[in-house]
Amino acid sequence: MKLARDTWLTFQYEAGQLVHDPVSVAAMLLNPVTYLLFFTPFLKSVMRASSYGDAYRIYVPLLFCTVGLFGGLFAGFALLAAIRQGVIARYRVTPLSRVGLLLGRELVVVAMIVFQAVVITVVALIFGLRVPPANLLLALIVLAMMVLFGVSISFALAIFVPNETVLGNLTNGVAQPLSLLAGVLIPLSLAPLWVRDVALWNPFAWGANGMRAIFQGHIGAPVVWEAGIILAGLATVALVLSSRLFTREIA
Amino acid sequence: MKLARDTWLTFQYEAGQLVHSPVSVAISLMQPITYLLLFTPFLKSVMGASSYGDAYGIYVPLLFAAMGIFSGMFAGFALVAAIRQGVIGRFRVTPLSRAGLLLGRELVFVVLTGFQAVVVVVVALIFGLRVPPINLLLALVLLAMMVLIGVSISFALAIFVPNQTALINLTNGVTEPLALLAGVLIPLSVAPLWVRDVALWNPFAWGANGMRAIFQGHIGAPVVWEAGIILAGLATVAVVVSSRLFNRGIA
Repeated sequence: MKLARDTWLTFQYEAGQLVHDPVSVAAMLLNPVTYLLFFTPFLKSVMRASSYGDAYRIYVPLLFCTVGLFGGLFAGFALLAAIRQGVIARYRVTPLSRVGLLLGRELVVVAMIVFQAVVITVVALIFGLRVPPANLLLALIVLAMMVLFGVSISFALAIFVPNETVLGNLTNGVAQPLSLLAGVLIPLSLAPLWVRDVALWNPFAWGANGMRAIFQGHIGAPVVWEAGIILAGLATVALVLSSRLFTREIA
Repeated sequence: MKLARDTWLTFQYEAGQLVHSPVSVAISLMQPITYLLLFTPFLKSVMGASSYGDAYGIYVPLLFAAMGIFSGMFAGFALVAAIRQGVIGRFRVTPLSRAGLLLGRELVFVVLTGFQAVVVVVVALIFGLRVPPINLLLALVLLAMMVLIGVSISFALAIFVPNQTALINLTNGVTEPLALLAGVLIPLSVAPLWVRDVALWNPFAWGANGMRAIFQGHIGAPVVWEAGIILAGLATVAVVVSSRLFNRGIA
């Protein structure tokens, strides 16, 4: 009960910071919307989609995966900044639970990415995407678990490697291959066999494949619940480990 | 004569700075090499390339274009940093010509990108790319002109918009669409007609198409010399305008 309340308090504070900075929220949407508008036509051609609606149905879940993967794995920089500015230290003197302090911050990132995904979907709807609300909701749940997993990893890395330059290079070196091997630009289903074999070990690839199946209307396909189980399991483990680490090292 | 000497002096100084930080040069290679190794398999499938050699023949010129566009257009941040740190201010009290001061800095970016391109080619050669040395040299000349245009634009923007955050958003907002509409991920030749029509107005798309023709062995194709003329003209204008601006605004 106390944990839920503390998480909510931290979430409220952090979300408030974001709401008061709409320009940077808009700036974060610039890249995904640019890709949505200018990469989909290329994908439509090479995937031989019969319409832009079909092309968006292929690309929107991949773009969800991209914003989830990068938004999650780069979240550690905000934690590092908060530690440096003394925000975390000032919270430590309050009776807020340490885990709530971390969880609230993780959930803000999740909420932000889900918001971005909704904006992407709205723009794609204008250009011809059709997706049932239930499917969209399910895809957003898969996305939320991906982000939670990514944020936990990134927070753990930020605690271990409190140097922005090193952390930047490390995160880039991990996130770029993970994203390409999740098929965020061209779906994995078309990739050579060795790539698909490697991707079996990439949780984000499971997320991308799951969301893609959902957008194609195969809500009951095995890949959907397999992705759900894998991501839920990994997100839980990552969450527990990162909050242990946070409690021990920082708070 | 004095201009050439001053340019060379500035170039030497700036290149020396780079040589003394080999780690950051290596890190700047991380992303292109990741894309080379992990995106080419996807492209091979969707483009129906018969071998990895063919697939690299398609992707390497696109990667050249991507590197040229991004390292050129983001060069302004180094200039902003140099202005902030007082490096430019200290050079102003010397008898160095102002144009040389700018040109030397621009050429360092050209050489750095050329070096990155050569490393990319070497890695691609290992994985099956075959390209005659003359063709490679010609592609590098086109690349150099692309970088020169990008750096000049970026330096001009940096002088006009000395606010880092605004400059990042502006540069991102311009560069991402320019890169996607130059077909840096999937070649323009397979894009829908409207994309190809828009790309006619994108000098970087001319560069990408020109380099692609060169890598396919069509060294005498009209697109090659057309790209050469367009890029050479624009590069000259951009260099002249940016050095005027630099003279008036900074030095």
